[in-house]
Amino acid sequence: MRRLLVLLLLALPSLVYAGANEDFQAGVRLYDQGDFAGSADKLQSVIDQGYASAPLYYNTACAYYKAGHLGKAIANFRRAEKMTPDDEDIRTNLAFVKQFCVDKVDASQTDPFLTQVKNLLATLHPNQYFLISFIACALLFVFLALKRTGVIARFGNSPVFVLAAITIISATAMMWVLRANYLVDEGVIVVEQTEILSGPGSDFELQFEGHEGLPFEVLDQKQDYYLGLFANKLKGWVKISAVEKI
Amino acid sequence: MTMRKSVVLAVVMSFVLGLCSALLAETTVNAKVDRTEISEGESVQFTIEIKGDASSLPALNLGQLPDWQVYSSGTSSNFSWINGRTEQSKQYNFILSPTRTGRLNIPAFRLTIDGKSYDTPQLSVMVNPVAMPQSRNVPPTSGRQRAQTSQQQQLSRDDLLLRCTVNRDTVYVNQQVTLSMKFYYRVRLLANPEPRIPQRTGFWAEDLGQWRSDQETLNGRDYNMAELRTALFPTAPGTQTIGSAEMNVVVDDGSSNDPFSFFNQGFPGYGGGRRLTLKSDPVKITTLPLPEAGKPGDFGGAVGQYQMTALVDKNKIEVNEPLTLHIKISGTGNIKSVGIPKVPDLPDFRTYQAGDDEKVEKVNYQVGGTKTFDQVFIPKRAGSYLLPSLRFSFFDPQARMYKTVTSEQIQVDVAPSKDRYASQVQNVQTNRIDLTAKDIRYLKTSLGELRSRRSAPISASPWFLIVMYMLPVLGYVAVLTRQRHKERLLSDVGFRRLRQARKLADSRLAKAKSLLDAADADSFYSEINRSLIDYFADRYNLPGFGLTADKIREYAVGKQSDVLVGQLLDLLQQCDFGRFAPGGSEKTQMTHLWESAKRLIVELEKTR
Repeated sequence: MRRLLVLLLLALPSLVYAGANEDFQAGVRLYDQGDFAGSADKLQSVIDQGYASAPLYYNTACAYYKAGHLGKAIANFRRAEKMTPDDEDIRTNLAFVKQFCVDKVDASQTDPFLTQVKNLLATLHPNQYFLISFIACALLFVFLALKRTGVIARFGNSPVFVLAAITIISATAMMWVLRANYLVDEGVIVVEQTEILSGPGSDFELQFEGHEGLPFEVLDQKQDYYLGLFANKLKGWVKISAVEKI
Repeated sequence: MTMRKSVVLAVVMSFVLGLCSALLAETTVNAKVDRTEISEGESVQFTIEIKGDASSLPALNLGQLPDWQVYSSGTSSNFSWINGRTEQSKQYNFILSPTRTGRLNIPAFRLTIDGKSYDTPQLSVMVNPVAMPQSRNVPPTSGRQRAQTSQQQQLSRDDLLLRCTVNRDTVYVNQQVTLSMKFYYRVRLLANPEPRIPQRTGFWAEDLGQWRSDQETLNGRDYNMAELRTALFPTAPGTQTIGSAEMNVVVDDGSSNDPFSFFNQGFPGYGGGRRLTLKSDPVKITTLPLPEAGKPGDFGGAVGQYQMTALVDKNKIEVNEPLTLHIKISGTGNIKSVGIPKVPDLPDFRTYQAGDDEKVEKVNYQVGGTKTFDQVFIPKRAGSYLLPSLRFSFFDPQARMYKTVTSEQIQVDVAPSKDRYASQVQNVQTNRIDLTAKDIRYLKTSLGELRSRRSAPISASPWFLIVMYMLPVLGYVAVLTRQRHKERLLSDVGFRRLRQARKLADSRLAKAKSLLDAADADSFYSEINRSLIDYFADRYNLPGFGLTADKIREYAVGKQSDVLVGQLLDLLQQCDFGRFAPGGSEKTQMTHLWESAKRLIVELEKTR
């Protein structure tokens, strides 16, 4: 009896995976048949069961895009990108889909250098940045210790500066990616058009109109509204029902 | 001003400004009529205006109103879109035709916009019977005419006639029928006639100009004639009756031979003349319903002959740049009743109705004109699009059939917005993203590694980061401490002796133990003595050679407890006694000494 229980426990993850994978493949088949809405529903059902993987989010995003749901497509591409930021398919499709958004950030307000740096930083996962910074940090102190004990006294201080710089830069990059992807809540407007208000209620003044696919940083929540910080540096309250959190 | 005061002031100012803005942005609903007093047979334009966001409003239908016949005359919108902010107003226009005279009410209507209810005010319009003095419209009789008629003193029945005729007595709904009211007279009129226009309930009326005067022969007799024509459009099928027209006239009956009678001319009721009221016969009109057979789906009730054109103000635009489609419908018929053709939903565009304009023309007593609708399209995406052709259907009463006119398809090229494109070019250069692709890339075929939906990377855990980053630091500190210890051992003799005192003492005690086991008493006592003396010397960095009991006592004053020093000296004395006293020693005595020495070193070690 105990053996059977152990076997069941061991087999459970593969059974769960098999069920999710079956729905995943069914979603792909529906996509191939041109039933994009059906494909999106099927793939979304896997997500709704609590599962997540970059390909799952990626395929769901593709199906939503084809079914005409730009906002949901962008939300799922962003989820996939968070999991595997170096996946070129995800980045290409996200950039492609974003061009159909109504709202856009004025390019003149974006620092090109900063944009390049951000794009560069976004190519690695925070764990990868951590690994780099940790190894550099460990090597730095090993080097200092060896130098202190006189084992490698003939080396200068250049390696110290190099390793310290690598540690600090990679740790900063890790913190930036973490903040951008995990420590800050992000939302995407998933309805065609919604009002961005000056307060959490329909009685407040209209700041501007937000359209499907517009991302923002969620700063607060009150009643049925999120307080968002938008790319144009404006803050405004948007109805929760019009938003999907990433 | 302190920082705290500044913050409080900023909060208060923000609240006040926010409140003002919220009040200014409130949706307002109003209703108005173009006139509050009309004559029977006339119509009023009733307008409901919504300022604010009226984008979510459904089509407005007034339904049946008591005392009024309702005709929708379309909607018009105004919007501005500045910096992403939209301001809109929308007007719903209706033509209300009264079904009776008197003070008629237009009830209040309740509109629900975004869950909030708004009431329009109740309005009232005074509908007067058609008794309005319109003498200025009837051309006065000329002097020549007066000369001709002044000789006739006896009035006959045929000298004054009032007739109402229509150009056709059977028409279709909304087809024009022209009502002609003619006033014939062959006597001298002492005052301008006062016409009373016939009741025209059930018709949409359009004046066809002013009174015109002429001379006409009727039944072989010459008359002066004044005519007023009106275009009528029946609003419902059935038999309608145009009521009797009336005309109040004052004619010269010969009593005005007073040489001073010219003072009274033009002042009826004063002096001579005879007041008469003429009345025409009612006219019956048979209105046919529009045939159901062949009625197009997009037919909106237009009757007449029309053409349609649709033009755009530009063919090449950018994403988010508005494009205006001018839809122009022109022809003959009741142009005011022409509605906008259905504009198909275009998923790649947002559409707004930007307003309409109408120009009514009356050529040869035929009503017609031009109606223009402006539809704004704002493209959402770049690409090449075909605005589909529009259809407009009407009933041609002459051909007795429905006809449909269509506009040409219009090619529109939408380029990506320059601002946006610039930022994307940036991305392209940076990340080599292929934005020239026509579609998204294909799906992934493998589900990949499943994770919990909310799982964050381990690097997001602060404790993990703290522990991991502290490891190299702690390692380095450990190495550093050990290195310093080693360096001090090498450089500081007293420190080295202190650190090694216990170790050496233990080593000697171990050796003494082996001597005890071997029953070598002399060597045993020497080793115990040596271990105690050397321990004390190492402990206080003293030379071990020549360290006597007196020197120990002298040196230990204030540095070590008297009890322990006493024990030390006692043990040293026992060692001396054992070494130099004859007769040997008991093993139990030696064992006791060894244990006491070991215990004493432990106790002394505690006082470090």
